[in-house]
Amino acid sequence: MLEYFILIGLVLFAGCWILSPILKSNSTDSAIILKTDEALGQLEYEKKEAYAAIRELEFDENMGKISKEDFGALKKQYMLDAVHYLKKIDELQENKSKAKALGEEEIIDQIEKEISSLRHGGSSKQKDVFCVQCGTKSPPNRRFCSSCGAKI
Amino acid sequence: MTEIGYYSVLTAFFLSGYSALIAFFGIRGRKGNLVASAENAAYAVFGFLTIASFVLIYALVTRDFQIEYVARYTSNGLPMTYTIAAFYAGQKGSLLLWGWLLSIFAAIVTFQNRKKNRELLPYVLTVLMTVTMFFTFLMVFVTNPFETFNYRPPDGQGLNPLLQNPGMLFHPPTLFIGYVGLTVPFGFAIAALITGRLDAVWIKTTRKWTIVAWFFLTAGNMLGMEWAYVELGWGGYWAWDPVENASFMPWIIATAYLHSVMIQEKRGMLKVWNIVLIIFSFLMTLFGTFITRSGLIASVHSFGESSLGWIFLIFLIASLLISLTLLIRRLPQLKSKNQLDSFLSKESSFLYNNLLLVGIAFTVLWGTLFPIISEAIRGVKITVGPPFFNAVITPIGLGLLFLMGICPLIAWRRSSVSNFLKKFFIPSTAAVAGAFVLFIVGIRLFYTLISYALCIFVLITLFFEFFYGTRTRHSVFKEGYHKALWNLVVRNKRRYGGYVVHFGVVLVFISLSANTFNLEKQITLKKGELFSFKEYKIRYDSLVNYPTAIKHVVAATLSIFNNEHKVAVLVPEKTLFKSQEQPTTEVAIHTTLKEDLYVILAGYGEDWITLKVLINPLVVWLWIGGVVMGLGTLIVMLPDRRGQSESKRKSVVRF
Repeated sequence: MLEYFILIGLVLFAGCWILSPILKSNSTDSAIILKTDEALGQLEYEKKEAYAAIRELEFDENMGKISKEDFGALKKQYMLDAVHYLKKIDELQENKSKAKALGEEEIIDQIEKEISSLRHGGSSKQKDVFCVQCGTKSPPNRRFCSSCGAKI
Repeated sequence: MTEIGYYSVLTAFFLSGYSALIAFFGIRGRKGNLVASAENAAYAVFGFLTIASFVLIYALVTRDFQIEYVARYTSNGLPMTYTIAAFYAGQKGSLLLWGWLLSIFAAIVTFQNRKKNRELLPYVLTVLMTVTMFFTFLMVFVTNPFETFNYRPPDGQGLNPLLQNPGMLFHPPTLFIGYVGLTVPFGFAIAALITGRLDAVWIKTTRKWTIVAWFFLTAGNMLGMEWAYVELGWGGYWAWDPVENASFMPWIIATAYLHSVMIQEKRGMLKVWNIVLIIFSFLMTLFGTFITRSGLIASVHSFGESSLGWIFLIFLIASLLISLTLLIRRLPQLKSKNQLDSFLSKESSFLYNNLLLVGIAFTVLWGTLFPIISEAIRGVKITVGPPFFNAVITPIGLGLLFLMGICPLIAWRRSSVSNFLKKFFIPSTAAVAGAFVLFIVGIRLFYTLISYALCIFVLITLFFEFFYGTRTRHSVFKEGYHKALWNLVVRNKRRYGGYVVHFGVVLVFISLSANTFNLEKQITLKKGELFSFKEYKIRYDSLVNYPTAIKHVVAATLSIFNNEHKVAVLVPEKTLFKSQEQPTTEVAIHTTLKEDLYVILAGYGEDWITLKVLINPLVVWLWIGGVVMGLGTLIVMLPDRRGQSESKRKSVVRF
């Protein structure tokens, strides 16, 4: 007999617990997060994927799996992808906080930095290097110039 | 006590229905409080099914034979571990386990996504809870696990002796976890189709859940093979039994998905394909259950004919129709972002890999259904056996092995032909040389030769992949070789963990290909007599005959010599369980890295025994390969440390 009381008690308790969010009138949309936040998460993810693709490409190049010409062309493509996502992220965030829009050059610069720091697990504090051909500043440990493709 | 179990399942049935409906309408009407209520209901379903499961376990442990299920699968003499394992020995218990696991997964998914994927979660919950409702429905209205007799039998019928093996403790639950785990990706696929959010988020989540399910399916299948090998006593581990096929098909389709999902991540291609794979890997789990429960196709795993199979079929068809309708509605949105740039690229090799894997799945499906199809068309039930499967699947498997070797050599999008040939040269030369040596040694079977050549090819490409990777890290990042190797794997867990899985697969192939060299002899020996078989000598020492609480055992003691050295004492047995009429055999196996000596006691008399002796080469590598595959999967599943440090950094670096 006791077990029946326990079961009935449990069912009642569960019922109250399940219905409690509905009965609370003021908890309206707390369970549904705004769409922009999700979109932002999605873009962040795509950006991370683009970074990962660039890193992998560089590694493949180092391992000699891909030719120099293809490497240049593909890297440019991935960079443009990353720039695209970053711009979109900025656009979305601009609605929340007034941040200054960066130029494409600056964005590419930042991507390079971010990828380089990712590669080192964020621990390196090495100095930037300059291309001997065109003088563009590149992050440390970069083997090719991001602007003209020359070997550094 | 039993009523508590039944009413808990009943409550879970209503709550899961409530949760499914309320989650759906909650998100449709964008009412957060309804969604929150549905989530609570999902947790409650988990709670009630947990109670029900513990009631059944309690009844088993206390051997409450008044419950029909307990009386049917346990007895007074049954050891405690198997008594608990009897939980899933029969149909009713396995349904409860399935429902319980599903409710656990649903609770985990709800908890994991309490702050993210809020648009998707309600639909996922709807799918998971609908499936849970289906299982609880079966328990409430069709086969109640808590059904009681109106009297209390003094003893139960006991557990089928074949199930009294350590395999029983691990194989069914792991396989169940794998099966049930595939429901979660399916839920996310359906949610993605409904919301139209078919991009990164669902990929990330489904990929993770699929890899977990895949891990358990791999382990479950491997454990099943091991169990069949040591328990069924016919010398093999895979017979293309319909139920083996039923667990193999979801595994192979999930494998295809785990490969093709990478193309979607990297290139935004194959979206429709990936969704189809996820849907079908889930449907295959239902199909497997339908096969076992309908009694339509004879199998060692059959639970006997019951109406349950047909209910599964209806559920299967309904799921198929709903998924396909949703998919077709979303087709315009599922266009590929890119196209194949070159036939010599990772994408295209993944594509071929997918075609082969799906080819295998289709072959297995066709072979499994062939008895039904032939009966429908020609009126005769024709069963296709291992010869059909082996003939069709061997070449496809070798094709896969070849791709496994090629894939690491090429880059995404476009691989330059000259680079590829440069990389291709050493492994292929080694493979040809290896095949040549094997040919000289005396291996003349075409497939075996090809298989070993390909295994060498894959092993060398895998080795170079780790070697060059480590060397590159060493030269670029100035890391020591150990650290470079460690970082190589830890920072690219999916890639290098995947390679470790491939290494395991190669070991499995090496073992499977050795099957062609299996030897078998049957011999009758008198006491003290010696029998030579290859380099082994087997001496029959004695025969003992004794009863235990639940069975009668006849055991022969054999001394095994290898080149005159005594290496083992084997005791093959024949046992007669009191509850069974057929005697069962307990084989004795002497395992070395080179081969297994597998001895079956086929018959016995006053002073003679008849033995069936098999020499199965390289079998142990199959199990080692399985363990390596598991380890590789664990590496892939390791949590991403980089992700955490990155999110910490995000607060510092702003774009």
